[in-house]
Amino acid sequence: MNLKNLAHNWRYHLIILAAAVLTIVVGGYIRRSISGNEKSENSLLRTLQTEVQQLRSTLRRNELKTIQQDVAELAMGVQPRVVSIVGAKESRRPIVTLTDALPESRRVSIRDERPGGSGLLLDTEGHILTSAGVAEDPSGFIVRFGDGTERPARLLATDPAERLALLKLDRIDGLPAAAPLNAPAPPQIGGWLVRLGRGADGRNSLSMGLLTTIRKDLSGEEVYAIDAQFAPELDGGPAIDLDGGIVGINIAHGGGVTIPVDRVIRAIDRLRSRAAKSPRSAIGIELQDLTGEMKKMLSVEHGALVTRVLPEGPAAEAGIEPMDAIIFTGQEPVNSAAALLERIHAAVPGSALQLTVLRSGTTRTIEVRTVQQSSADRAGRIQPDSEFGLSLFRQRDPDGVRIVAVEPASPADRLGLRAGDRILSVNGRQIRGFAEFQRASTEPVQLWLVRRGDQTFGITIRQEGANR
Amino acid sequence: MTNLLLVGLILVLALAGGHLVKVLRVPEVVGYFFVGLFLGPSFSNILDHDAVTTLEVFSEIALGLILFSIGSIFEFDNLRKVGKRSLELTGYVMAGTIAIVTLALLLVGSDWRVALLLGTIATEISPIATILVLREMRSSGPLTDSVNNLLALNNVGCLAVFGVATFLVRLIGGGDAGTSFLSFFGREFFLLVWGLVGSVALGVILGYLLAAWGSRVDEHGEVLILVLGMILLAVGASHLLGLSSLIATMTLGATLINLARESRHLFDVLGKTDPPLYAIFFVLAGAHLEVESLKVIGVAGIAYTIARMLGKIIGAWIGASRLGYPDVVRNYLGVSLVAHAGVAIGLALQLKSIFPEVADTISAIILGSVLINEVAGPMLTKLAIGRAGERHVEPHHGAFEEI
Repeated sequence: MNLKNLAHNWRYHLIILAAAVLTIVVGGYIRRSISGNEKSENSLLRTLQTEVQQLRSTLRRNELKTIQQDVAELAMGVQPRVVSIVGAKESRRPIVTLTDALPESRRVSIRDERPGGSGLLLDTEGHILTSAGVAEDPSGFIVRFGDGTERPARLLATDPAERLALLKLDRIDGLPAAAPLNAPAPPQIGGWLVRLGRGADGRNSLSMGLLTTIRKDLSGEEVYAIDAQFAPELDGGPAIDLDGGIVGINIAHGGGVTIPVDRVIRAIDRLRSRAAKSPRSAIGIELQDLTGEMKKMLSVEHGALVTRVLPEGPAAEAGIEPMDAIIFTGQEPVNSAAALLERIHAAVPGSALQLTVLRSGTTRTIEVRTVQQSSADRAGRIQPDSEFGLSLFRQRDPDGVRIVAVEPASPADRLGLRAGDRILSVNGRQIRGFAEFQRASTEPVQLWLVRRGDQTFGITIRQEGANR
Repeated sequence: MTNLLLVGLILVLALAGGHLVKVLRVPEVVGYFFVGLFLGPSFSNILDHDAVTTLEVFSEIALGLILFSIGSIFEFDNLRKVGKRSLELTGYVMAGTIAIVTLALLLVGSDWRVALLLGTIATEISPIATILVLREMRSSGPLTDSVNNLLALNNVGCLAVFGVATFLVRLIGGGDAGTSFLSFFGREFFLLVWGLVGSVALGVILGYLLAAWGSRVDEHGEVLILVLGMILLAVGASHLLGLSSLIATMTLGATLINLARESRHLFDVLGKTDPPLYAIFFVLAGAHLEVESLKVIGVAGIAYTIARMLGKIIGAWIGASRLGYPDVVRNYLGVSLVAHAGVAIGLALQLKSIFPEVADTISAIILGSVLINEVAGPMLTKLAIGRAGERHVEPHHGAFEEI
């Protein structure tokens, strides 16, 4: 084949060119119809779909993260007021080993902390609201805050109907801020609520869920059922809505419900007034612990010595006399003066107490009917002197009068008096207890003999008024 | 950094790199390539992925230009003289490469599909790297001619065998779900034929246009505009129609040389204009690759690289011996054909949409191997041409000498 000759033929060029054009046109058309469009669009669509999916999952993740952060922030607003409450009963339990019983010295004191529950700090006076189930331990409570601090607390009152209880902290310094409860707009069914609590180790605890339904409880009052897990730590803690408002208090009783806040507010009022009115009994005596020597002399192992019997008091009427040793109340041995006082106070006013009394070698049982302690008595045996700044122990004491507290920056403080000091004599008159001190310290210029630990020193007191 | 600043930096640094390696008697293109590696993500990351993608258009133009000039080999006179023998020689080299690479990969435990596809990709020889070495050395002689002819034919052959291999793998591996065998078969077959025949047809059409117009243009600047315009048309239309721009531009050159004997000057015009583009091409090729890829090349990658070299050398040896080529061709042809480059990467990337399950393995091997061969290939070509005595320039001829 002679290509050269062919090349000079114009038809040859025309045929080649036409064939090429035809190939491109037809081929391009077929390709477009069978693959091009379908393929590119498919892959484009697939890419697009994947991207959309990735975008969606990213969005979802971000949304969840936002929710998580929001809930954490929400909880943070109330969380500092949420406390953990455990019974304070201390029990001595030996460590059990496989080999041997341990010697007594190696036994350790273990605070027997039952799971307990949570509570809500109501105010800066140290009132804590919790569920009645949490506040069952009569021996007192340990309240733990989110910052790790612990404070002892005692039960003020219980409302068995609402299953709520009010505790009071013994120390109220440095408490977190707490606004009084107020009823926000009631939560809607289907709204999100967060339950808050604090574990016994001080850790935050929370669960979140929808307000499933509002039920009537046995008393015919409304309670919230929340679709949020209920843990023992949440018992007594608050439930908040998404605005951070407290909508109720969680109660483990009845499968974990939430008492609406308006009910809670009413219950708090009742609890407070009950606590205020909670009557204490008295029989009108002053007591002192038996010293070891006295016990030997009286040949008793326990008891409290009556140092003073208030005239016309129930004790006086029943025939109790000073220097009697009270060794039993009912069947209970009396271990100390304080324990006996506590027992008398705890009795229902008007009830009868069986006191076993040891007087000149013989024991007798004397029945004393208690009376309600007057508010003046309730102020306690310890009274601060507002002018001079001394709080004295109001008890008969052969060894002077003990200073219980000194108000900072008061005249007493400036004189250098300290809590724990004993005033032994005033102007040379020996002092045996508060009453004698009161009688002796009427003169405008006084010389006090004060004992602190092993040393004794004198100070001069000048008074403007007649009464110090 | 703006793109123009990048281009300027590429050109200046490429020249510096080229001069530097010349001192070591290493081909300039290797210097360009190292500059690319340095500018790329492996080191300074001045040429990051985005910049490489943006500047890719320069590589396309460079590749179009080099294949256009390769196309001139298909002049009928030349074809009549050496056509049949060249074709057979190409066949030997390709067959040797496919056989040895596939076998080696099967021996090191690769999947048969990976082995076969890599065997066909291995036939690729970087035309641009090889041609630029020949140009740098101003070589001529039987070995140079054989290399030129073989590059042109190999270029088409490589795409053809790769197409057939993917076709076979898809056929045996089963088609896409939901399509009947016949329609699948028909479609694949059409695409295979279309990629080859359509590309040729496109080149022919544009070649006629160029020849008709070119005979009426004499002025140097206008000739340059026309040729460059046609080449870019060929590349762009190939993309649009799903054709091979390599075959299309090569056919463009072939058509032109056969229609207008006096068109030699058109090729010469390009030869004086295109070096900056080639510099950019190699710098980008370097920036494309990461030295990290050598770490993941693995046993299969090493086997691939060695087997490919052996395949070319053995195939060329047997072919040249049988076809009665001179000894220099027999001894040095295979060694001259080691350069391996962008087209191979392009083929490997194509597999991503077709065989996603094996594409990553293949890509890793190819990327590592190209990195090695892009350096070793030009050096071996230069060595072979020098040994064959076809160099026509002193090794130290260049800017340094003239200063």
